[in-house]
Amino acid sequence: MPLASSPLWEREELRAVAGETLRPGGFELTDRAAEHIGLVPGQWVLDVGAGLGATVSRLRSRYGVRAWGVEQSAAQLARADGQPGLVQGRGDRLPFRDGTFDALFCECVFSLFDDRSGGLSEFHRVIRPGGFLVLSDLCASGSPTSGGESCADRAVPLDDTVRLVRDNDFAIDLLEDHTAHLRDLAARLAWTGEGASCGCGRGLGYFLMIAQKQGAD
Amino acid sequence: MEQAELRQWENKCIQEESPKCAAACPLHVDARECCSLLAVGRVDKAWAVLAKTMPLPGILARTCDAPCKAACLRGEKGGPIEMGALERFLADAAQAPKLPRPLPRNGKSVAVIGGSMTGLCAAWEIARKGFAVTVYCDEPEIGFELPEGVLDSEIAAMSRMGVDLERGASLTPDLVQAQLEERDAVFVDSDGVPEAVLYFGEPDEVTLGTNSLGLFASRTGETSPVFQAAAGRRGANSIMRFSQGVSMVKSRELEGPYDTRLYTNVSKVEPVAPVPVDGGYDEASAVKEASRCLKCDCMECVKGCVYLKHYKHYPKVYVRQVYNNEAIVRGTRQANKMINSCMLCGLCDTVCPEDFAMGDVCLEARRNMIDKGTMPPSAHEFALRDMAFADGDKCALARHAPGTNESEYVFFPGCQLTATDPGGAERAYADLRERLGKVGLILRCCGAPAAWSGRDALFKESLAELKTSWEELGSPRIIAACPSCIKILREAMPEAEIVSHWSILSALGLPETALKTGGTLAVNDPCAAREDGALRADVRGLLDALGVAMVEPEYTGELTQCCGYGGLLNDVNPELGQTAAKARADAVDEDYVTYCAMCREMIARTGKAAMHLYDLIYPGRNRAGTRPTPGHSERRENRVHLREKLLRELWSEADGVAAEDFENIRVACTEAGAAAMEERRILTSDVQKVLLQAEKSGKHLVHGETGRFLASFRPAVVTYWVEYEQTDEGYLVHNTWCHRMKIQGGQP
Amino acid sequence: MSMIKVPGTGADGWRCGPCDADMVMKAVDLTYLNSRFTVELPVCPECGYVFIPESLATGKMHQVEQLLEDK
Repeated sequence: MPLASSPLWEREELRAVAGETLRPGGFELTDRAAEHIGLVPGQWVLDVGAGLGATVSRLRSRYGVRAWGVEQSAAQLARADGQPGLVQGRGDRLPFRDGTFDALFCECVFSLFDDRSGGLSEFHRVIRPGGFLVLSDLCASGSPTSGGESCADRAVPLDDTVRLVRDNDFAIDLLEDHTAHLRDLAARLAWTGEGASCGCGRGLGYFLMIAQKQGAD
Repeated sequence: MEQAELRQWENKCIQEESPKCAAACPLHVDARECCSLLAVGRVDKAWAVLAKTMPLPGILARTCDAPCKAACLRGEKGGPIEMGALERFLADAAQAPKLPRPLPRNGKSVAVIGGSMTGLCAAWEIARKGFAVTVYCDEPEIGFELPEGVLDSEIAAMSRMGVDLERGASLTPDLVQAQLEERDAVFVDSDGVPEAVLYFGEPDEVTLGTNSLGLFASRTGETSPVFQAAAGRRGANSIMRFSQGVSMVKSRELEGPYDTRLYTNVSKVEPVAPVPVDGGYDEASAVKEASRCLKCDCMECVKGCVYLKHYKHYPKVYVRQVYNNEAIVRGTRQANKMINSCMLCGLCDTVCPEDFAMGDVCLEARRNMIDKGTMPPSAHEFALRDMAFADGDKCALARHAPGTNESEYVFFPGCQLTATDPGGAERAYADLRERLGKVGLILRCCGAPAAWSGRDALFKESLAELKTSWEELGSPRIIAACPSCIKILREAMPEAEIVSHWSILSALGLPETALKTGGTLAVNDPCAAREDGALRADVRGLLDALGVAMVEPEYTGELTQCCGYGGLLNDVNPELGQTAAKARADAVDEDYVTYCAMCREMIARTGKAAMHLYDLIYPGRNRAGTRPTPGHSERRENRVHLREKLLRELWSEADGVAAEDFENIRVACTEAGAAAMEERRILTSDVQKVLLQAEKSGKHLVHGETGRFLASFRPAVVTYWVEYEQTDEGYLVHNTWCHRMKIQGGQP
Repeated sequence: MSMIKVPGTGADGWRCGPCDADMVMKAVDLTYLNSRFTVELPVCPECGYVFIPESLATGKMHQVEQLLEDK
């Protein structure tokens, strides 16, 4: 499979096709999770891998929560153009104190972490006891390939992720298959001629997981 | 019924859903209610409906662009209600109502930036929720011509609610940010401020929130006054939720215009054009226009059903009454009769856009009552006794065709046909034997009374007996004449092949006896035929072959109405049963033809000429349509005599059932006596038992003046009293009554 | 339990045939479902035959029966 010259998520075609949010389903899963958790104004929420800040903006304007976003890529942040709530940082070294957040969203980004376990442990640290982790991402139906630059290359079997999440002291509240969203994105990408190279939709699934940090206040 | 099931049923019934106007209005103003009041001249009350829900009613009523008109169903029948013109009339003509008190001050404050309609409405709505509000604007600006003093009057009203107006304010991003820091929330009227102020991007469409927490704003470019007002209200709702820390999104689906589930049938509405508006309405023309309102509601099922009409409500209310009835442990259950009165006919299910099936609710409730032992004993007793009698030694029969010992078919006329037209049943059986060959006969009840009364165990018992008889005959194909028998047996005996006599006749052709005198008749489909299109078609084919010109009542075929017997209504509530029969009779001018014995009886008893299809195909002595309707005792005798006659004539068997003692008592009745027996459901056999007991015991009363005798007897659960005199021919009954209450102390 | 008197309940001209006696008003026990009532009714003083008038049977007695059944 040929590698793209810049990461897929930074390319014009994907942004044009997927809209502001660089992931399957757009805001549908974000909203689903927000309503399942029951986010209310006054709560603190972190979006890891905030990209252009669309999710942070959504969380603030629709749910009224104190939403913040962490984004590693300077290029993305530059494009976000002064939107409130975004800081530069790494998902596995979050610039926040312990137990700050009522919820943490990590959508279509987790598979890019080099150290997933480290990432989960950071998530665990900044979420308050009883708070929620919302994880949506690709997962693999077949065996994982190692290396590779796009999220599709680094998809992992769902069971592995489930185990990892549990190992990091989270209890799984909800786990749903949303592969349909992925297929839809792949189909739309095919119009721009990118379908074959991104690998989306082949041996891949998409899931939404909501987990709760143990030990309520 | 569990609570969850109750909610599902209640949800199905759409009668309480909003009319299209209120649903299409972004403020959900109840235009239907307003028109209803205005149509009877209650001008102030009509205005109050608007003023109590609209922000700045004095202004909005004069500028409203009435999006309700596009949804108004009167639009299909002459033209939509001129709601805008009515609003303007009311704004001018009516007294301002006392507005409901705003919520108590909550100690929080909000700034509204921009003083166009959106901003002013936002301020109004936010102030009503108990916030202190300051509106920053250059000047309040409505953008419409208003009569002198109207704007000032509304602003004065706002001021009384706690809204401060900062005229001549400089509207800048700095102002917004400063207010954000000072206040609990800020609302920006995007169309009432310079573009520079809109630094925060397009607000969320559900909440009008932005990525600055606490900053809400209307979306730009809204030109409709009522949608502007709705945006102000939405912002106010969001600010309320935000300040209370509750969900910003929960249960907001109906906040803007939506499609209501209410269905209104306008097919019979006459078109009437709107009253011309010209320069505006005066009271007379406003009242006339308001009278054009259709007062949309559903009530489709109630329109077609005497039972649903009788209890004066609609299924959503009824199902809750049923639920409450079941929930009562101690205390009276008021809804038992209602539960037992449903004809289980399925019409409501068929006409309801959401398939509300009252029959399902009631049948399940009856089963529940049987399980819990709360079914009133007297409710179905007479019908069950009748069923037991039809299945008893004196009436039941199962034989191969005479001279054979195997059956290809068996004729199952059903217990009502043999009770009301034994001659017809006999002739039908003869025809089947002649033209079809090896046709056996089973005389008994299909078990419908047990099934309809919720007595599943009893039904199963009866069914087992039926199956045994059928199997002993070699499990032949069953030819049934009654649609209820067909329906019940097809469901209960899927292993059997059950075919209607009408379909057999369609294949064989009419017998020579058939009366092909033609004429015009209305066709009454029995409710059991509702879902059997083939059956209904077969019947019509036969009527056609008979040369009958057919008239269909309005409710026919799939939409047929029950005659009043279904579900045992006529046993549970004879008065309502008769009302149902009368409604059916009155539905057409012509005489009726039908193919269920009970439909025929119910309709004929109202005095209308009605015939069973057998009256045309296997005619008897009486002119078709005039065959008399037998009373309770005669029905039983008909069944008994039919069995005796057939055993004797076809199978050369003597009856084999010994006459019981009481049957030797000879009884005649005066007119009054016969009427009392019929009305009180007292059978000749009951009277005979009393008289026999009187003979045996010697106990009786005698009347000091008339010299007549009075005796009583309690065979099972009912005590009968008979007033009589002795004649040469036996006994002459003058009067009779009964009661269920038992006399302690051994009086038999 | 106290005795129930229903106004208008009387022998209505009926007398006991075999005993040739006028009826007298006496306390009689009546039962239906799980309820028991003591009602004053016309009774033959000799043989104890109880008379239930038509008006009572179709009137108050019927109402009580329906009520007990929750009909």
